[in-house]
Amino acid sequence: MSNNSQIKESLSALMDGQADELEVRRVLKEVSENDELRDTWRRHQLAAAAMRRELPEQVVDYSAAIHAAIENEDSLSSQTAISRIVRPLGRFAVAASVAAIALVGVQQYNKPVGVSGNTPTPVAVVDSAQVDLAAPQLRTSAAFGIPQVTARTVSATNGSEQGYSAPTSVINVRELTPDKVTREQVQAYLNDLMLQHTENAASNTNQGMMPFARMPTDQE
Amino acid sequence: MLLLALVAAAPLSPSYALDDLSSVTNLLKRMAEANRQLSYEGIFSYEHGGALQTVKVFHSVRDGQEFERIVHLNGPEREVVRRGNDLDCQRMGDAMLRGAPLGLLEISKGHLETHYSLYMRGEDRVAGRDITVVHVVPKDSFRYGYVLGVDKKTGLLLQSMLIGNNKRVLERFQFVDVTIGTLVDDMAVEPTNTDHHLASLEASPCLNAEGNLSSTSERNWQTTWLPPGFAMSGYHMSPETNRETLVFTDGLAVFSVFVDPDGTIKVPDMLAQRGATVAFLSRTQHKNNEYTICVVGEIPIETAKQVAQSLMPVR
Repeated sequence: MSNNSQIKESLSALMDGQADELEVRRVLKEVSENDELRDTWRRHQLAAAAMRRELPEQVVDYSAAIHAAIENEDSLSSQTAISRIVRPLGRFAVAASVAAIALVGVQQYNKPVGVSGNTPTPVAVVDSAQVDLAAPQLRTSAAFGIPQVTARTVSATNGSEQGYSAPTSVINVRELTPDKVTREQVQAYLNDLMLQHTENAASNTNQGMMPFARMPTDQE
Repeated sequence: MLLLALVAAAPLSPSYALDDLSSVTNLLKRMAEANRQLSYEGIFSYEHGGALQTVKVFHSVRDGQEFERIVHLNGPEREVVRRGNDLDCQRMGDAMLRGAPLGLLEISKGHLETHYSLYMRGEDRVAGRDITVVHVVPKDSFRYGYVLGVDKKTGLLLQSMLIGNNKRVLERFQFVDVTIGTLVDDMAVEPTNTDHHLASLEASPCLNAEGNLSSTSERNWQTTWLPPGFAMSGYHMSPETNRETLVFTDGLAVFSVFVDPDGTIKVPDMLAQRGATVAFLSRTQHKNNEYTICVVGEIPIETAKQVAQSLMPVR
């Protein structure tokens, strides 16, 4: 771009809060289409952050990752290219919609935790990270809480044996041990613990009753 | 409109002057107080794992006590009522968040800042109100981070996001509409559904005058490891089920440890997750009795696992 230096001047003005609205629009448009300018913008921000003695790790650039996620997300996001670049809060908001799905990484727990010497039972691995961002599952409120609709498979470390998973709408329980407990019992037990924990969380955090939004349903 | 959004959210805007630690700390302190002392009612949304819940909340203060009710507006009917929470009652989580110096050795003024970096992130709007955005970044990987949106006028928390170690948003609470400071109808905090849940405060005792927990001496189980900055905030032994509950907090995150005696249910070792809440479950033996140990909380899986593994009988 031939007018890069001019834009960079405007960029500085924007950083100093001295750009007028028209200039802002023009800069944003350019920045959104120009990698070099984007880097300049980033450097400006870093410099500003450094001057304000914020930790460098705080100026994490989410744009690439989020951008990729959004591309995969098709028309779900209403974020414009502009707001993606200049609004960290916007990034968080988008991240909330796309990344919250892929919550649980594939966690491998090969060893049972018990300090005792009783027979090791396989630890279930909850694997909901395989949610396909390219084909997002938009769940309606009515569908929430019905595992069949949204169920993802659960893989156990010991594939041939039983696997258990969370009392959640995203995760389903695949198999059950024949003898001891049923899936319903396990989920009821976990729901009970989660509810009690929510009571504890709601009285020890700054969120008032908000944690009760996490309350599991009996149906799950 | 574009400009407005820009200016409001630009976190590194040089014009923002309040960006020092004491003002963030004061803001969080104010928030901690506002959430309990104000009367408010509104609707907030709760997002996790791509699912969206809407919840109606009522919070009323009468004669120095809190009366609260929440109703889930979508999905199966769920209603929770909480009553009689005394405003004078200060719990461990309150004390840590407010930075009040306590008698306990490990809790000092500035407790939160020891384990989190706190940043002002400018302004935004939620539920039609101006908020100040605070970014709370953990200094280690034992806990999650937060983005908190605090109402500028009243200090009420209007938006809260939990940020995982991979910088992902695990869950988000956000008010859609809220009325703050007006009188909430007494009937609004009464249950409407006979099937409602009455929230218990029994595992969340008030701190005594010295800032310590009272009566935790008779417990049978103890943790031999805790993530730095966490302290016990409550203990409860259920006389009906003999379930022991130990609650821990660092001022923002809370996890519960449950120990069930044999006979309750033979649940295999497992890991469960729902939204940002993780449950790590294992079994252990003590004096020929089997026990089920479960650590539940909005904490990383590794933290829950380590706590569960550190649990030992007292004596």
